[in-house]
Amino acid sequence: MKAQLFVTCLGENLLPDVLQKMVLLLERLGVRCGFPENQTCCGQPFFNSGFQSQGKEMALRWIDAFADTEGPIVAPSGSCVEFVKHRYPLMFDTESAEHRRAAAVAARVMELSQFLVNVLKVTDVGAVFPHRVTCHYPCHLTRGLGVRSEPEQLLRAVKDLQWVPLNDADTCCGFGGIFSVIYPEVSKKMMEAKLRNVEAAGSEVVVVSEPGCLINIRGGLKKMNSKVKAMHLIEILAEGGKA
Amino acid sequence: MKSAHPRIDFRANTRSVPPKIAAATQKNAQTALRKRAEVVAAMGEENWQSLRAIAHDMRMHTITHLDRYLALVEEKVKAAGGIVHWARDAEEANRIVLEIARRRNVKKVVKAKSMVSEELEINHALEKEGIRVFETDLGEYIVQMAGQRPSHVTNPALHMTKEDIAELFREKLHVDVQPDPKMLTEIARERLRAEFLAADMGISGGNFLVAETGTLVLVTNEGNGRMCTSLPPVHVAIVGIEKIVPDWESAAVLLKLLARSATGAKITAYNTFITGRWEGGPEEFHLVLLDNGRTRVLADEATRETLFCIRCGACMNICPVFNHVGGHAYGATYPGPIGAILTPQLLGTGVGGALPFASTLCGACSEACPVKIPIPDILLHLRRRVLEGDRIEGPVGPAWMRVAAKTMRFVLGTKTLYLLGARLNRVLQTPLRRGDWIPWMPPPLSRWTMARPFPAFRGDFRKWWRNRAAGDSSLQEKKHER
Amino acid sequence: MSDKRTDREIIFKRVSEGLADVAPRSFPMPDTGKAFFRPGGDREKEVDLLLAEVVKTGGAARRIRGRGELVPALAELVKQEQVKKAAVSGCGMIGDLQVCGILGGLNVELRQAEGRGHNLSECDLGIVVADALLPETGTVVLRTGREQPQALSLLPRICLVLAAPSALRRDLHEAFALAGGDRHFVLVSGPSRTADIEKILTLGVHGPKLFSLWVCE
Repeated sequence: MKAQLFVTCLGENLLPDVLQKMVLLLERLGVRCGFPENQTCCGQPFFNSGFQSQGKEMALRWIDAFADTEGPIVAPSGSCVEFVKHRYPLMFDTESAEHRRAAAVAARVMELSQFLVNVLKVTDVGAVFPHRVTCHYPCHLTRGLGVRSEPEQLLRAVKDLQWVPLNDADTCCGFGGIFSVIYPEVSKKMMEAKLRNVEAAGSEVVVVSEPGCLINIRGGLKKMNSKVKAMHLIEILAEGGKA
Repeated sequence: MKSAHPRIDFRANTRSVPPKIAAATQKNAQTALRKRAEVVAAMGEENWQSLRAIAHDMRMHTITHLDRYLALVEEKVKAAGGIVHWARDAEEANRIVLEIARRRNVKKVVKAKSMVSEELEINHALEKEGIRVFETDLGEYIVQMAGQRPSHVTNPALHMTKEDIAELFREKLHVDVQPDPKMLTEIARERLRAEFLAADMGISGGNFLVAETGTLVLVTNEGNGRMCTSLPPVHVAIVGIEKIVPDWESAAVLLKLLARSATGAKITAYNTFITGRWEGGPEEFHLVLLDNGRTRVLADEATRETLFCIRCGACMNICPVFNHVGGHAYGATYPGPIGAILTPQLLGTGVGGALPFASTLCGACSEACPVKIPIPDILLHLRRRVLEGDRIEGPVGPAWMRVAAKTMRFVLGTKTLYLLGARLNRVLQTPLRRGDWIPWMPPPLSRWTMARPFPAFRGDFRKWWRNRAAGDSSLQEKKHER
Repeated sequence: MSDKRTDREIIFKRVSEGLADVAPRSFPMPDTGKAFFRPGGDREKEVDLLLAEVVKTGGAARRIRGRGELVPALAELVKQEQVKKAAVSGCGMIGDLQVCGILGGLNVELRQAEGRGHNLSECDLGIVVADALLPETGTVVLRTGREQPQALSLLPRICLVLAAPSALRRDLHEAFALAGGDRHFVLVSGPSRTADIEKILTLGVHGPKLFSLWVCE
């Protein structure tokens, strides 16, 4: 099985270790990874900010980068996947060639936990993580893509992992892309509410499977000198040993 | 797009929210959401989703055939002895109501809760003519007395404590009363009962209009809706043109959804159905059908569903942004997620352009909405209207923003420039970097760092990938062999 | 007059122009009949459900089996609530049960059920007859007419509803099938209430504080 890596702009520039672990994990599961080098950003920041025409330009380039590749396109991000999957086809006139190309890549794109559970049909990836772990449910992953149980299934299959429920797990963490810089005071309050719930859960780790949410929550935990560590799902599934 | 409304500065509003507002908002929301979850579970999730889907499609049919149903409403109301008026905007609506009031020599008006009447600021228009207006919904009565605007569609005084209200009653009504809800309510009951019986005109809104028979539907809990529309000799109902439902079954569908979505009750205490003039009822029944920007919402296919709203408040109850800032921050009649899409359309993006951005696009609102309004989609559409402009309105944001976006896109969209930019970031961050973090960035990025540090830029992935590929040349050979 | 005609024309024009993109025959009405999935049931069970739901709304509810139970029930209500003045519906059931006689015997002053104002406001008790009953939500349907004015169930502080089990209906749409052609009717589900003050439930705002439903068998 071959899969194409959709690394995401946030992932590539801020979380390269997560990407490396994603590759190692996939290879461990027998997946050969391709990396279309012309990818940069899917265009979501532009589109969601209101610059839809610029988002469309980015989309055309992204489609070019991936169109002539084969296999599922896998990303460590629900929001980027949701954007390609749901928005790309709508950008183009339904009769056009661009629409066909967009629909073709949209059909192939998926978030990592979706890929593992629903395509590879794997929940136990052979990871070991003897720690108390709770899980934040990113908005675009759950409500956007309908991925509600896959991350939990994967985590519960990790050896020695102790699952701890999180209060208001699917309440937004306050990142919201540009929202975090347009209305920073509100973003901060939402982040703090999320962090209060995380602290109250009493876990050692909070899993945040979305680059935007992850930098938000990880930064927030750092600011309050919390003992809780924010990790991407991949970091637990891949290493399987260290916190 | 003429509007005397000042530009809504959402950010400034959010920076001046008293902490008790957020606390009161959250308390209200949690109760409503908990009860809503209970009644939805009691109905069965599948049945609930089926109802939502039927409601959505019914509203879509009605809105896309609105001219037909408007004509039917007019015909039926007139046949039942009612008088139908049409108001293109707030000014005209107020003029119509004032004319009726003058003709009938009205001195006192009792008003049932109506969001539309807030839109019109009709109280102000009446009071200017020396007509006394009494809000009769308890929450509205309280905020009117306090000289404030309501902060929530179904719970107008949620931002006030019982202590606040007791103090208010002491000051304005000259009664010595404890901060006990029962006693406060009793005082309001007594005072307002006298006004109901003495009023010359009752003004109401309308939750729905059943086109089949021209029936006005009022959904209330307190009984003031019934009083305003039955005791005074004149009843004026002001209803937005989007409130129409085709027939009685449609009304029943929405009534099954409304109370459950709003407060988690299966039904409200009173549902009143008024068709024109009725036995023992007012001498005159007037229906004012109001546009006031609704046709502009109708005209854009992408925003049309905004008009489905049944004003339940579920979207704001579940919205994390709303729960942290309260209703007043939205600066206009309708707060929360529905306000974020309706206000920029009714008042124009020049006034409401900040509101489509007052969201993280988390999507909780559209899941809660009983009529399945795709609020996040409409927010995105309106963001484009604000920054790039569309068929309905030109862009509000300055030209340099569009130039900057184009430039950014050019850089981010061109691989070499993208990678160069990334390397530049890794270099430029050096003086600001502290280990894995950048605790402070210059404005405007300081807006991020004021809340939490930014992670350091790291560009290892492509290099790592290339090194692996090179190092695994033995692997490559094996591939060729196969 | 011509002003209003102009606004009407303007609004209709805006609507039809705004909908110019809608293709004919698109967006048909869905099958709203599918919304009424509640099955009817055994009469006894439906009455049980009805009574339970009324209680949940903050009202009182009971069965009345014959005159033998009606008289003491009314006596208790009059005593407990210190009812001095009452007004009753002119509907058949009131006469059949001889309610006026019973109240007279309890020294309750009977007022005419008329007028929009002070008369009924001064009454402690208003007695009406339900035209239909909806068990799922504890709702009574009251059709307005000369015999049973609307204010009778609104102005007195106690609202007593008498109902026959034959008034039971399965769901809301059946209530509308019955009363939808009327000029005025009300669905009442319990006493008047509000939670506008700090989400604390308070009964008896503008409408009746006490709501009682007696299903008379």
